[in-house]
Amino acid sequence: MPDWKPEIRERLAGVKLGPAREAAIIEELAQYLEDYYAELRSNGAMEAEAYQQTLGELNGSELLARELRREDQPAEPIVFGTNRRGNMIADLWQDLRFGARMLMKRPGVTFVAALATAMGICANTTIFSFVHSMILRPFNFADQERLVVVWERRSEAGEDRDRVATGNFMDWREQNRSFERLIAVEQQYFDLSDGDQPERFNGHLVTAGFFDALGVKAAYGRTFLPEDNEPGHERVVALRHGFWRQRFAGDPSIVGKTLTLNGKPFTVIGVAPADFNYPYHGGQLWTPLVFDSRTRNDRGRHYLDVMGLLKPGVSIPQAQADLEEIARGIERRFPETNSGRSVFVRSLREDAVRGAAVAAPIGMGAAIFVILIACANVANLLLARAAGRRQEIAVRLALGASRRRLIRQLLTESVLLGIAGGALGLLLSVWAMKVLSRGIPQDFAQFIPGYERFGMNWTVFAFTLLASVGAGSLFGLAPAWQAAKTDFNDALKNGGKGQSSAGSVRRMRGALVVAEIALSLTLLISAGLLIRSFAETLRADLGLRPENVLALQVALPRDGYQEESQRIDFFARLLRRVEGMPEVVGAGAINIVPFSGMGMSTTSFQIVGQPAFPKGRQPIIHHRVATPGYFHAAGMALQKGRWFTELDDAQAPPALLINETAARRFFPGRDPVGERLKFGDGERDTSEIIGVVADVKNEDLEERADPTAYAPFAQKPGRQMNLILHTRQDPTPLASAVRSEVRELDRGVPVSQVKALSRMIDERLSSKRLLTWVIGAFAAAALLLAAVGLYAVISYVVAQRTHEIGVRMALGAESRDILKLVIRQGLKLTLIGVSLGLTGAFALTRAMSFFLFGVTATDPLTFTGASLLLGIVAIIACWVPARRATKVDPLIALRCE
Amino acid sequence: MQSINAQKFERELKKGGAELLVLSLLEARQRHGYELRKLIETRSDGALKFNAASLYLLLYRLEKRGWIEGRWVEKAGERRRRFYKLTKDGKKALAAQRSIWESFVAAINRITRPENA
Repeated sequence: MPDWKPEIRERLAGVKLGPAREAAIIEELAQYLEDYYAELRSNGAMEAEAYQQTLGELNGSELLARELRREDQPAEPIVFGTNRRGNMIADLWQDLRFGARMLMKRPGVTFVAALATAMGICANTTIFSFVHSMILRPFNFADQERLVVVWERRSEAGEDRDRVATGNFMDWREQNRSFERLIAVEQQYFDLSDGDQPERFNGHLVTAGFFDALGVKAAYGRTFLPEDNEPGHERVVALRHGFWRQRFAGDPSIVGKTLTLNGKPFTVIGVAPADFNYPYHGGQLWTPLVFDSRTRNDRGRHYLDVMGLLKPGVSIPQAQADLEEIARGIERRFPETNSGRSVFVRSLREDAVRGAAVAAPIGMGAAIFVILIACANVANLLLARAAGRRQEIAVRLALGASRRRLIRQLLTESVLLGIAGGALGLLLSVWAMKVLSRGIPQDFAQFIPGYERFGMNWTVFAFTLLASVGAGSLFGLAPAWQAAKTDFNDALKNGGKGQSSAGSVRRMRGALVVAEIALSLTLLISAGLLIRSFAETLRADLGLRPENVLALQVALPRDGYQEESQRIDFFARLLRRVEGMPEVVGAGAINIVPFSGMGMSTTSFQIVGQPAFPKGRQPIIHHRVATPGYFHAAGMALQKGRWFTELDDAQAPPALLINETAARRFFPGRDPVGERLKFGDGERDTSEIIGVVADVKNEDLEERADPTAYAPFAQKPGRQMNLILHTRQDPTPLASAVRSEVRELDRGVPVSQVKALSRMIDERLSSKRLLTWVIGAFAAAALLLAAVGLYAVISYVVAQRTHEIGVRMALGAESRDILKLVIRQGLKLTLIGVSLGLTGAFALTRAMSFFLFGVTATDPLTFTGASLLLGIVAIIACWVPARRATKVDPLIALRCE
Repeated sequence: MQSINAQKFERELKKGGAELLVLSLLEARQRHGYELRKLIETRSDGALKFNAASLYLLLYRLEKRGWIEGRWVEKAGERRRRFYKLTKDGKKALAAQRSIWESFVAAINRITRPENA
């Protein structure tokens, strides 16, 4: 009698049962075979014949092995013949190859799905790059986490970020226990002259250790040494990389050469690295900041930016407490200047990214919406395709594939699709980033930390890959789950057109479309709000007329024009000359141009005849100096009183124009004309208000105007003024003619900051315009995706109901009825989506109120308009397949079942 | 007359047919695998045959489903054998399958019988 056990064991190899169970099964089967063999032999079969026939009893034992394996090791994937570890990789490879083949089989669907994914990935990659460069890593300084900025805080005035006075800075630096280094920076203009008319550049004076604190090494030459900051030391300068490239053609031999800055010789000691642009004030060079005995005790003028490198292990609150204690000491010793003044220590990164950090959540939220919509869309396409693949899936199930294995296969396929879409999205976002980085003018971008590093890098790439795989898994879930439910008998029997699960697929696809519609509506409303707000901003009353107005800064050198009369005379002659130019309609000058970002000058005052305000509680007013011609050239309106005239000169009583806000705030219910403001104790420090002018916004178009006073230039002649020229046409070409007029008057006077007023306003608007564009583009993509999703679902429904429609038409239904029937179905989904979307938008748009101007976050017009737009698009998306449904030939429809 | 869910029946025909045979044979008494095979073959006059692999596939599946229960029985002078018997659930399943089967056969007969008979 042959031993059957080895034969059985061989056939059940790989089942890996428990030893007792295995032995029992083998024993049971062996007995059976023995009985059979014995019977064959007793019926007269030859040994070999009986043996062969008995072995035949084991035919099909693979199925048995599978059954046993499933019974005993539910977690084991069903794989024949090989060990498990090898199979994981082999399976993955097989899945990938098979997935790629399946994707290529339906290139149309694959392309649309990849494109939708690409839209979502592009949105997210672009926003992530923005967040990464401008919020997470705006700088690449070595000890970024230990770098802080220190401001003076005036709690009573609600001012957190006041600049620092020299005397206070010196005390902080000497007495603190928290900082490795504490650095002061002063912004200043530098006139660079090399024979011809000087050029004016912005630059920074920095105290010792500036470059070391930031961990920056020179690209050429060296950075500052401690002795460079000592009084009387040779004057040295370090150049910004871009400035060195533009102005000195990138010549490395500049190091060691001498430049004439503000009329004095400075030796170039080095060039900063290409990506170094700190502080973000558009400075082109750095020189050491040296305090003399007079400035080092000054506590009245607040003009220093202070930054510090914390000692290792010291936290920001510790440093804050340390400096607060020092500040309290200063306050006790110098109550005149320091009462109410404390400190505010803040991380350098947080301080720098304030602006970008407010916009980022909106962009990120919108990008996530886009990718969710894209995923819903692709899931939808894949569900439709999975329906077409039910037969294939059923066959594979019947042939022994486990559902787990099938799900893995389908997920591999969708992840592959996600990666393909991601690659496409990556290309799109490289392009999008290029377009976006052009969206903010260069002059303005240099004030935004990290802007120059906005673009593609390895971190962004890793993010894209992760997002693609994530998206692929997300949109693969629904179809995989659906496939796992496939009942193979049903599927095989119905030739792939299974009935039992069609309902659940339809419900799932309906739910996906509803989600798409809801998300897109929220995006559409957000975009609508931003667009309306932007339009309102453009319509906002600026208080002046920016068209055809050119501003140019003219600064008299420090070593001349000592007498006030000389300055008055220079600008009077210059203005006469430019007024004589045929293109010029009007000309004037002002010390600070609105919207120029030149900063501001504020001063405190008392109102004559009213009880004095206590120290530290005096009201603040913005103070400007202008010539009589300025107001006409800028197109400002007089509300009360009179303008300045030539008669308001150095001999006349000091005169003052105030704006409407100042009039309202300081003289409520009274006529301010004739009132007098006292700015100091000097004889000419008290001025009479002669008129009230319209409010002009200062920096931002959305902000309310600040209380502002204008003094006549003839009574407060400074060295630095800005010509304001109102011209007949585009004023920009006029610049060179004005330059030569200045040169003819004095070739030592530089002309800088030449820019049209409309351009300055445009730059101010650029970040808001960019946000509006980005969200608008996202919303457009969302609308398109939702329309495609709805279209696909309705087409699917029509295809599923062809038979029914055929019957209806055979029974006399009109095209109109069919059209209504189909569109009603689409509109039902749309209505559910719209109501969800409206709810979502109500909840979410509040987060945007910070960015909205002239429109509320729940603006009914925007909400209605966006819903209508979506509704119309939805009707079109349904109408196309509905129209197709009416073309159904009843005979063909009935036959096709 | 109980209506026939033809789809369900069709689906269960191949699989369920075999199940019905095994369950019926176990109704009266417990039997071992080879005995089942022999009975199916002889009672169908050789029309229905199972080999070991497919028979045990069925047995293990029914056992897992809780319709039959197998256990080793040792009798004096014989080697031990694994006998299967019908459980309570198995009896219910048998009743249901049998009734479906009978309805089906009746229906088939009504249709396939010559009309003039």
